[in-house]
Amino acid sequence: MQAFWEVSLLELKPVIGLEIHCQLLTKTKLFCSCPTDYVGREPNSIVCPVCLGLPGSLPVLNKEALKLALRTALALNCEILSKTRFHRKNYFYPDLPKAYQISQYDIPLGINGYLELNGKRIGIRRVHMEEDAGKLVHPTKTGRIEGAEYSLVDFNRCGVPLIEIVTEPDLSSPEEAKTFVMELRSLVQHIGVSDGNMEEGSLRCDANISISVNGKRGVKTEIKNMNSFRAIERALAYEIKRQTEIILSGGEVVQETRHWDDSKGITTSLRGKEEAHDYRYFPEPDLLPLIIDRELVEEIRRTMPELPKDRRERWKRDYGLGDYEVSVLSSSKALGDLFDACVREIGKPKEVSNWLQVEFLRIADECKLRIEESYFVIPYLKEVIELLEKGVVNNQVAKSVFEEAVKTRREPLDIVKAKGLEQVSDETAIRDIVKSVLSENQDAVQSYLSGKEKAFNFLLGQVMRATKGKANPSVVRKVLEEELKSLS
Amino acid sequence: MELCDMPAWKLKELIRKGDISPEDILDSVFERIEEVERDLNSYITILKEEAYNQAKEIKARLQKGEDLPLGGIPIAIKDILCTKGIETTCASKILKGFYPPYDATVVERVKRAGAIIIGKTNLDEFAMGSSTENSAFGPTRNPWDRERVPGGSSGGSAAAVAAGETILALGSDTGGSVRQPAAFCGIVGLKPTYGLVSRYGLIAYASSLDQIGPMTKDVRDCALLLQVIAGKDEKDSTSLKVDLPNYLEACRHHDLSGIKIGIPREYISESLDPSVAEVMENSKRVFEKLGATVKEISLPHTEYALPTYYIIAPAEASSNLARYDGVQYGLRVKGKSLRDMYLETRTKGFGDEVKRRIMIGTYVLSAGYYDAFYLKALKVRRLVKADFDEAFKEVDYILTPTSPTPAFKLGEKIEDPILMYLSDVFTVPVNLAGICAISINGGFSKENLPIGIQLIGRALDEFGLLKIASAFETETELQGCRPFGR
Amino acid sequence: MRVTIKDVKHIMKLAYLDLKGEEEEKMLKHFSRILEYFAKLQELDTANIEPLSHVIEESTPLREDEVKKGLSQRDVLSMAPEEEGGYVKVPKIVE
Repeated sequence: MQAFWEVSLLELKPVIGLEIHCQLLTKTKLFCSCPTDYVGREPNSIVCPVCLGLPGSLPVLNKEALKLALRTALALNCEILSKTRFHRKNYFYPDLPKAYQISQYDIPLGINGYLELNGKRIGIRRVHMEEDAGKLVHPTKTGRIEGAEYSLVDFNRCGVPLIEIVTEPDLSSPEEAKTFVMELRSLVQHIGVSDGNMEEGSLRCDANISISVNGKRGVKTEIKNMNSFRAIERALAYEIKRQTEIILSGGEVVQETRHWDDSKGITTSLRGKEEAHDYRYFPEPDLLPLIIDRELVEEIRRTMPELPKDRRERWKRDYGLGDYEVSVLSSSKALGDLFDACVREIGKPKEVSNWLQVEFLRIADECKLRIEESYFVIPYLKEVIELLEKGVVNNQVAKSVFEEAVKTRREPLDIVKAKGLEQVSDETAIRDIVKSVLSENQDAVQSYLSGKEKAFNFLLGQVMRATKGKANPSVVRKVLEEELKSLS
Repeated sequence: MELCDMPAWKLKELIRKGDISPEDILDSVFERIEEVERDLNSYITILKEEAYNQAKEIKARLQKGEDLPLGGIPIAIKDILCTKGIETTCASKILKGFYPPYDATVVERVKRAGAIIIGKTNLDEFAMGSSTENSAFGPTRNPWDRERVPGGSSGGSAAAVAAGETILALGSDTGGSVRQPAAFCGIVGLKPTYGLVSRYGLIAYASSLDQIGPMTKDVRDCALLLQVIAGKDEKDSTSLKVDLPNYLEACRHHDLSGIKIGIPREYISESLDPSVAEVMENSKRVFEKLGATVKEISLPHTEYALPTYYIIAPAEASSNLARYDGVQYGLRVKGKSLRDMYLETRTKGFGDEVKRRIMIGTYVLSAGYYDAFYLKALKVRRLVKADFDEAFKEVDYILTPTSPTPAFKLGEKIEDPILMYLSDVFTVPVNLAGICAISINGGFSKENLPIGIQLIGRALDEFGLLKIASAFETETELQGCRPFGR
Repeated sequence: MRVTIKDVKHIMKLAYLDLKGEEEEKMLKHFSRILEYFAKLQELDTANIEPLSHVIEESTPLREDEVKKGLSQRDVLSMAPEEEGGYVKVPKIVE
């Protein structure tokens, strides 16, 4: 189906570029030794003169932050510049205690990279390091700034290390933009540089979007405040519609920054080009230029964790998994990690994949289990698969035993024994049950004999029920077929 | 001579011999403060009670046999250096009531060395000025002539050292703020190589130029204090890792034979005050007498250094001073909205010169002007530095006047910023190049005003500077001259 | 380069300063005088000169990623002009 903006005499094409900020998983802040785990902390309790920007304090760069930033840039196939530096970005806001943010400007850490998205290369213009700002709390019912009589500042997040990743305007639809952010999140999670949590704000995304008309670049707007994958898709779709309508009605798109209002489902103008900030960037005098140690870069390259795309390829190549299975397993790093751990322990990647995707995910969702904390299921799964293979239980029983094992943390074999769930494969015993079922269901038998195949399944179900599901279904099938044949 | 007029090294000896106690020195210093402070206004905060408490503690430490390089010696701290729990104002209304929760690295170091902090000295607001007239706490006056300024911005420290209101003092020097007041007050002031002394806790004016320096009664004291404050600090990314020489050693050798000293012709223009020109002539002869060769050299970009400085320093300052917005500490002038609070706080909190420099600095960094002003200035800065690199191929040290005139009168230059800026014309190039320089007393004018000479050295050659300064001082015996008590 | 009162107003807006009347006039006067003085630099041809922003030609030092004790909430709030519930309070942001 064509999207509405594609139905036109003019060739209109959305042109989207993204700016993504990720918090780096360091123990301490970018320029001081305060901890970074601000979630759930008392306000203003993990701060020091440096991140508070107290007069006289000075920044010192965190080595680990540099390493994680380099790892990200390398994973995004960037060229690492040999000498980079920091700049000050000057603006006033209460969550910015120095009234400038230490960021990178003319010489970022990495440039000219790309990330592959379903075979298409999305260009990465630059990757750079910068410090985060604090948080504002607005004591209104909605928690929003409008209508707040005053605001409250928490400086805990000040100075938390961020990487900013800027793409080329290579994305052409809201869906592609969303998929890109998901892929990027997966990447930063896989290489251990960020937890990529959008809800907690450790991954944030802004977009630049314009509509090209017959190949001619349009005026772009910047969209802020998209706080979920769904918001990215909705906000961009809205903005495309808005801009397209302006263009089709002969108007002109205004260059401006717009705010996505998730509850109303619209973007509103935040500030125009005229009010655009004049950040007065200049080289940060309190830090010396950063000369990148080539050996460090090589070491980071050598020790690069497996990237999501390599992992997916490995699963296909070594385990023979299909596209769909791979896409489910790689939907989060945690699930992929659990899968790999299971396969290491159990082998049988296809079975494991199936069990995790169908049974485990359902149970985990039902019981609000965190995947990261679910490694205890591995021995249960191993045992259940063995019981199934040895024919001790049938498939249905295996599933319920696994579920009970996970929920009660009991050994599957114990459950089977305690409940007498062993599979019944004895033909004589089954034949007796089949006979009694047939005699009790004469209608169904007649209907089967008159050619209604469906009745067979009904009878099969009745037999299984009579055995409390323990009977070996293939034996039941065989015996049932034989008995019905003898009646005809 | 009273104790308060003696240098630290002499007092140390007297303490060591048991002739005097740290309290005796404090008695003498506070007596002098009592006598002259009302006129001079060298201090913003005086810590008399705390000082006597510290003295007790130091005495105990000395008795335990601790080796304290500054044990029991009073020191005054320019009120731009953070002192834990002690109000630190930068002579600005905007920092009124700011009690830093931490000590500057240099403050930590002088405390550890056993010095007794007796007060926080007056300055031009945020170190922006050359006369200590731009202070929210009123001007400091020159102890040699109370109608005149003590120089600036470290005018409070300079006046206090000269007047015997302290033994040692710390100042900060961004474009001459240690050296020029030292010259105006007849004391010794050193601007160390950029990176030799940690800036952590020094409230920034222009971060790429600021350095903390000793202000002392003689060269030996300067060496003593430098030894304590110099050296790598992990908290300052621009602090250099260096093996420190024993600076006191520099004060023992007074033979300057083989040493080449250059006098830049650009510094000896007709506009030089005749008394300053005369001191330069005499100084040249003294150095020759000591065995040095003195020759004329050229620093061709000298005249561009001052405008360069007055672009770079305000640019950095506009950013460094943006944090004073009433949100977190210091002054807050209430407003109906955040914007009103920002505007009111900053407009009422900053003095005229600070506002001027913030405006200039904002302008030269703003869109459309960055290349023409700021970037241009950074390029000229390289030329200024290259001048020195060239000169130091020819000579070992450079001799100049510290300032074109002796101390001027209060109010004389306050209405014309450029006239005031010209007072730093000989000191500013050193900061731009990041090298070191010392100002010592070179003689007196007819009005009995001290006139400073500046010696400039290669980066990290403080040892050499102290050596030739010490030789000069010993030869001329000028450092003993004090406005009082002689 | 001539500065006008409009320039001064624009820079005041960027710098969050609010001078009026005589003070504004005086600022314009001093501003003009200082900028004239800067014009001297235009005499120099600096086309091929590298700007010098840092006199130290080393790489910025790196710090180990180890947590150190900072300030307490009480330290922060004792400096703050206004506080509420552990936060620093500021007037309303949107006018």
